Amino acid sequence: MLSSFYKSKIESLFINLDKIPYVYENSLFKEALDQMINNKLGVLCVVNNNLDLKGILTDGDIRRKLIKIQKPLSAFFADDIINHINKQPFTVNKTITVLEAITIMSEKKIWDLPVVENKKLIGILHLNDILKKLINNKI
Amino acid sequence: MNKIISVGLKGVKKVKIGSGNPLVFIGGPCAIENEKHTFKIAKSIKKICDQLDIKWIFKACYDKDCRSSLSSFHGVGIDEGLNILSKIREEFKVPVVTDFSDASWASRTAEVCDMLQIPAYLCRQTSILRAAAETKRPIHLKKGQFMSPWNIKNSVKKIENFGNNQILLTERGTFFGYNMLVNDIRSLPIMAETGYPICYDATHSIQMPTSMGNISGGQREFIPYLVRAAVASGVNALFMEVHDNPQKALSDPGTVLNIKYLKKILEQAKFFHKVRLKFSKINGKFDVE
Repeated sequence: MLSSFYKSKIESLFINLDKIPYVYENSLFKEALDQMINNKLGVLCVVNNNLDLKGILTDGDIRRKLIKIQKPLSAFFADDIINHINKQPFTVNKTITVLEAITIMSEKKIWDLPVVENKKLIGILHLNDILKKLINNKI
Repeated sequence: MNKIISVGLKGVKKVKIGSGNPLVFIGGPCAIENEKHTFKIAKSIKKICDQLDIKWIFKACYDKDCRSSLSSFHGVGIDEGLNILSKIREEFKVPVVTDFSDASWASRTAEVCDMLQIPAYLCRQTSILRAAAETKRPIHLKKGQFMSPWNIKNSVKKIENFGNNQILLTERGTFFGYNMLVNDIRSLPIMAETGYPICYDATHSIQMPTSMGNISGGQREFIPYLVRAAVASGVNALFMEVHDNPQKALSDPGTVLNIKYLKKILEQAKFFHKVRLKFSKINGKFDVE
């Protein structure tokens, strides 16, 4: 049972675009934070007008920036988000298996993976959703 | 992404403002008082700029809608004002800029002027920004005295969204308590982060808004210090309002520079700009990380 779950594709597990925080690359930092708060996720994707993924920002990135960037908060909020993102995030496509995905998460010590299809952002795989599935279905 | 804007329609000498280009002077009397006086000032500025080989843009206003008092001189009005600006433009082959305080004036103003100026008090007024952007003329956007330098980005984005990306951003002082402005040189590189060229308005920056009860005062003795500081910081253009008899000026008598000092100040400004340009070529845009 467990092994078939591990071998299943992540397709039905990742959160679709309409429910994840993402902003366009010309957005301000504050707009990005609003999206993360509204969607209750600690990761944000930044895309161009074609929805191609340009990078991500995580709660951890924000914590480190707050310490590193000595600016008034009002100035920090007005910064362009594009200058603050990780431009080379780990990504997956929807055809990979759950085992492959959690292996990446474990090795890289991350729990969110943007899901892309030909560079285009289509969602986020969140570790919590995998755990929920394990618990609720008593796999 | 350092942008360069080009000011000047057919019939005048085009002026380029931005990265790597020589310092540009934007100036004139605060208000158009009458045709004769406007021509007198323009002639004097031309002579000085020709001698110093500085490219310039003539500025004067036809309607001073932000006066403290109703009894203050409000301007000659749009018809007479644009007529005079058009003559100045033709006579001196110089691009002209003027501000406008009502969105409905924008298209008429753009028929004559090479550049449109957004008054600082109105720098976040969407209808004004839209009207200016839609004329397709370069826009001289003055940062409000109430606005932090990083927040000017919101106005820039409005203009860009309305289809115009020819913008010059200007620092003109920041409110420090009541009736007092201070100058924060940090605002120049902060505004430059937008990629647009930056201008420093040396005469309004020393203004003491409405400090004289029903009229603004100023401390024009500080103009040379602030000019040197701003130009050495790397601005692309310098803005100053000049008058042959400041005490009798119909608008901003407390801040306009006596034109007899203009040459001295511009000469220094040109020198400091060259020095800054030289070092920015050697060291790059930033001297420190």
